[in-house]
Amino acid sequence: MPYSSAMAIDEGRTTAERDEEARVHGYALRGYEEGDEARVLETFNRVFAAIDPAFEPRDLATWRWLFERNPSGRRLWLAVTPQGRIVAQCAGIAQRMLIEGEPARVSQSIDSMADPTFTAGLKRPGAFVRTCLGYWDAYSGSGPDRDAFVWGWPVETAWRIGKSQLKYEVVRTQLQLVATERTFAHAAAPGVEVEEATAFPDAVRGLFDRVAPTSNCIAVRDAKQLTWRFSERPGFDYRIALARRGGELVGLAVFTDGAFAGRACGLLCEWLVDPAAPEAGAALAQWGLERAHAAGREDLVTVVPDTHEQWLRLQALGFRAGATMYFPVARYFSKRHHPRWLFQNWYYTFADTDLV
Amino acid sequence: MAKDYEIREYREGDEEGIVACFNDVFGDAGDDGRSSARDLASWRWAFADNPAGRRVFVAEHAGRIVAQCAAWPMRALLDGRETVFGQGVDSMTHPEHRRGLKRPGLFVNTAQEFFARYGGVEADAIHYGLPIEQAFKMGVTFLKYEVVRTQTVLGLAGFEAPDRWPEEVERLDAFDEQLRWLFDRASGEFGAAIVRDAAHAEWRFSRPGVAYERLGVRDADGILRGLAIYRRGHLAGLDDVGCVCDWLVPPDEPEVGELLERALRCLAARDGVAGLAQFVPDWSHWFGWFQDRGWRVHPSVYTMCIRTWSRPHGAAWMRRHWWYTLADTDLV
Repeated sequence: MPYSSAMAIDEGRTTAERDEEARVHGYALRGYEEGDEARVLETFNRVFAAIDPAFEPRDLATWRWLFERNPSGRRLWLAVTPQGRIVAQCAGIAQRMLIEGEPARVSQSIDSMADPTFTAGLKRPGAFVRTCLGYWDAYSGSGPDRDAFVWGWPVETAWRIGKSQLKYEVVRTQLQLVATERTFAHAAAPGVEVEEATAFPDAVRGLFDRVAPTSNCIAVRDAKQLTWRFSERPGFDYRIALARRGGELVGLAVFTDGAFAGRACGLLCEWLVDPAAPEAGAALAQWGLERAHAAGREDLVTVVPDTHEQWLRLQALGFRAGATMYFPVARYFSKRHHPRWLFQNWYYTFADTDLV
Repeated sequence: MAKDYEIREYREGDEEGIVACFNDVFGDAGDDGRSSARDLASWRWAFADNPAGRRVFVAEHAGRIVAQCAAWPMRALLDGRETVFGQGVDSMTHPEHRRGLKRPGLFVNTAQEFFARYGGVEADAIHYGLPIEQAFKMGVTFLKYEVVRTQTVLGLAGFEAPDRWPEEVERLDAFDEQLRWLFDRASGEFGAAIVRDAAHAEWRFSRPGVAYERLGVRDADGILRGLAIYRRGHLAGLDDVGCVCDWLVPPDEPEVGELLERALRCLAARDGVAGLAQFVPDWSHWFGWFQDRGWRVHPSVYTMCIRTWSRPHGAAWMRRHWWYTLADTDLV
């Protein structure tokens, strides 16, 4: 996979120069170290509570789940004073990928922040941007073990910084797909049986291997990854459905009762359908709508990219497209895999995000 | 090198050089086998006849036009205030001059002068367009372009032709003051839109070489209650499709929408085209209304971008409030 070192961020400064600038401002840039978590969490809860009235403090169990237990790894870069105070954080959810059939890595930027009580007194604070640049130096760039791109779903203020100082670009403006009893097609699914499961079987990987060629860019779905994403997430209740035909796993969906785009709804969090068994999609969508109704919700909502074949299949099943406030953005480090390429080639679902 | 180029506003007589440059840049058949070659009649329609004026900057080198930044200005409503939007069209640099100025290059220099001349809160509040990939890159990097949306197309395929033409739908001749009345009734949910009135529509739908069909529904008193404009053409990789160029129906008159949509199906069936296609903003209730009638949402190669001079009305605001159709683009 071709990467360009000339695309290194902050072209005017080396990593060492940035580290020196940080030192002058009274902090150091470094990766997470054992024992940082309590101070990181305290800063995170304080910073986000100040800007979001609906913010619910994160507990240590959730932090450990996000950053210690993800089988795809950890992405955490910090600005820390000599006294151990957290000045800024750039964090991400690591993802193992298949990009054009080859193993690769990316990360989803989440929880990034700077502590305004530290940076307010500085003439040119820059701690947040400097920390993000350090993150990219540490994790992104050339080779299968580094992130080919870093992406996220920014709020407006983060987007302003992201595009102007960190070279993020829009991948797409995201539409949601919404099914209700009124729109639902109740398509037949001959020969397909859906069962609810309490765990992800190893056969998920075989299903993933059949689904993966439908896109050129997809995060790896296997039992280990999905177990972490859904079964081990503290405080969330997900339902798993497996679709089988003749005993073979041909589809997988995950449901939760939640909210999206400001509305309570049933959410199809994961959507993996064998392209050779499209009727599995019909059966899983039927299951999802029934789950939504059982939870007292009229709407069943999901997201997939509009460039993927599932986009039209889901519309045929009775989902209708609607606007959202979300737009995935990416900072790319592989020249070939720029946002326009990602628009055409990247398959993702809610499962890839921290939205549900 | 820079002094060899004169970047300036259009002057009488430039058009032949502009058309020659355009045909050098775009005249060869593209991947789809179509030539975009332009003639003077098309240029005059686009830049001399537009009732809202002209927006053209060129770069001249040794007596030849070698780059252009241009737009169609159109009167618009923006958050209740009348202003002008400019739709960027025909941006180009002659291949022999693409390295004519040091980074950021001749096109960007021409565009910067263009925007400095025409853009502003009290001038053209918004410029917009569907740039090709190279222009998009330059626009985002150097010209403050923002993405409003990755554009979807609402398409209808595989439908049954209606039994008969809906009698209530008539073909309109000349537009008159009723179009503006209709726009005023239909635009209640529009935070931003190009104003539809007779002067604009007569210009827009008299494009040389294009046959538009103007469909309207009137009430018993002859008052125009809804409008749809149809043309047969190519769009978004579809070779032969019925394009719904414009759609203007008050949101509380769905029965008018039903009649016009049925008429559009009749025209598509008459033409034997692959289907119908249009742009409808995803925030609009018409986006769901059409889907309820079998239309499906498809991705496209287009990205709708703006450059704004009105601080509150950036891409995020425009994404949620701007009504536009294919008629507001140069695609149809």
